[in-house]
Amino acid sequence: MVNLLKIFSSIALFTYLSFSSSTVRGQISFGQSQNFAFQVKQVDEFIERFNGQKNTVLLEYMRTYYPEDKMERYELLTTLFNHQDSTWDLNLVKAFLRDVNNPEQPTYLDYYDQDWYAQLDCEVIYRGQNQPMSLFLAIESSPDLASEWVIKGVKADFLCLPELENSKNMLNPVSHATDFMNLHKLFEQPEFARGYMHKNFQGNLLTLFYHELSEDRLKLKEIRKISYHFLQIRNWIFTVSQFRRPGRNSGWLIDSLSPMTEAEKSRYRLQELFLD
Amino acid sequence: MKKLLPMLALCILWNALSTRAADIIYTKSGERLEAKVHIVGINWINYEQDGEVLHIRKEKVAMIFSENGDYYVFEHSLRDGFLRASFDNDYYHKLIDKDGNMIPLKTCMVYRDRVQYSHLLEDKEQQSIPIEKVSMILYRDKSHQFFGSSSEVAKNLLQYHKQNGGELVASNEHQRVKASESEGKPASAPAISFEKKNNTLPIDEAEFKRKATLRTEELTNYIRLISDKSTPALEANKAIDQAVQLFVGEESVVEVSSVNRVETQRYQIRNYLQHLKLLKYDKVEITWAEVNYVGDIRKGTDGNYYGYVSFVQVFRGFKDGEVLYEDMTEKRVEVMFKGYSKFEKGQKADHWDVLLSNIKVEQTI
Repeated sequence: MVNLLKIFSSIALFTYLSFSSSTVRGQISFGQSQNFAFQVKQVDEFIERFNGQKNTVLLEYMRTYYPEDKMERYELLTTLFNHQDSTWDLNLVKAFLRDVNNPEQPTYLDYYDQDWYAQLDCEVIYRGQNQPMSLFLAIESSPDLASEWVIKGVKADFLCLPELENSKNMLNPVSHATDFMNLHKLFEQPEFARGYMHKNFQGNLLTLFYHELSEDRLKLKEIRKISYHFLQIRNWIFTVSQFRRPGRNSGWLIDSLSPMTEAEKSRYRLQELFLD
Repeated sequence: MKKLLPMLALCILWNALSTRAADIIYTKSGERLEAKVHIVGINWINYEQDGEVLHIRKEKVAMIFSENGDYYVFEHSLRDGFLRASFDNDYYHKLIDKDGNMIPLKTCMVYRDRVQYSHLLEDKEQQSIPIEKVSMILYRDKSHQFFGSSSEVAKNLLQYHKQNGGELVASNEHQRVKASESEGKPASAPAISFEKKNNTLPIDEAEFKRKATLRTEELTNYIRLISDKSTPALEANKAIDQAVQLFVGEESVVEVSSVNRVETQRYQIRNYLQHLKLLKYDKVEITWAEVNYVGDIRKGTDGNYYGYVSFVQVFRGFKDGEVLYEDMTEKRVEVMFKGYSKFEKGQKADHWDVLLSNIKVEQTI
């Protein structure tokens, strides 16, 4: 824990701020205002701090109230981790910080990057039952930077195709001889359609989701949790979640970090983000 | 004298263009930046200008001409990749026309309406090509001159190299731009600052942000009025109507959540305000934290421009001089840019304003 503080409190500033006074200004105390300045209020602000942008709210705040305390990109990056997690592998964190803050080849994030995703853990009502469902969204942008969030993946255990059973509902091996006249059966009894598909057929969850949505069988009840997966940094992956709590180390913070090869990322996109 | 004037103008222009004390970045929006380019990254180009290290998104750049003679072409058809090529001779000039063809020139003279030249391989003494057909000239001293927009020139240069070689670089490769012999290594631990994004915005971004903040303040004033018992019912209703006018429409939604509650409550804006009207206090105080966060404006695929404001407010409702209710909320307000025209003194004038859209209210205490 001491080591953790060494990294995350790498400048005296954090210690100083921890004991700063809570002078009341109007109805909002100085401490509360300060917390809001330190809080990573939006994912956009996360990206600004990650990139060390000079116009980010925290640096503007520091210039106003603590002009003698200089915060560089490294310090800004340390404010982006969840400090209350005592299980961080500090060597890993240091390696990541060195890597992205390498002065000769720094790495930056951008809202318009292709390889970052929002995960929305939702509760939906499907056929009268509450069900958990996760949607994976990404930014889609045109060359003139017009953009939108689009759904790219779905995790919904309740959306699945019927198991393949031994069934009489199939096209027999001589169907060609009768010009596939049995195909009519498929359309007359669509509930047995699975028997007509190839044995490895699993369907596409996004298509199933779209279909059920358009059939008005899915209702959104709540978005329970939002997290973001950042895959665009070479050899690294990290996730960001919102920590709603009082104090400066709050808001959108890194809650997991892993080194990851491009091949592993491909698997991650498929298995964790359910992208096609 | 007639001929001298255009040539004089040309010389001045030429001096400006042929200055090669630095690399030159041409953006798709037509800017020309003299800088020292360090890295062509996957998404960003990292360059140094006046001792400061800056970054520009790759898709905003049309071309880079490095002082060592390499040049880089970024064109939409290459997706995230780019073309890298080099001035490969010092004994003839290359004229690239607007079809991507190259004419090798022994000599050339640029006039206002034409380029007069002697062809490297043809015997004819002098030929000319209309200026509107010329895209660029790469001079044998490694300088260059454009005759169209940077995007058009990039396209023509790429057409030429697709036929005649050049290295196509994939999107996932970082390219360190070679420093010239006289240059040292790039400065370490550079100061970081960023280019202004969305420079194609049809409006002033600072003004957009100012108006967005102003609209949220106006809404707060209406809320204060609506929740106050001393406000007569008629005035409260009028305040609700006026507050709704701040929004893009009646369908705007206010979603209220709390750190202590999983479920969120959603109200259409008018219902939300009506709900506030029922909470009668003798006096209402709404105070703001000094810090707020105004997000960048972004163009949506629907053609509209969007932004947002995040801020913290404390709401206190008093009854008989005592605080009856108090909460601290974090509010995130979506805003939209709306353009409109109106006639002023018989003339049609274009205006724009910022309207509020959906609001997320999160109770933190």
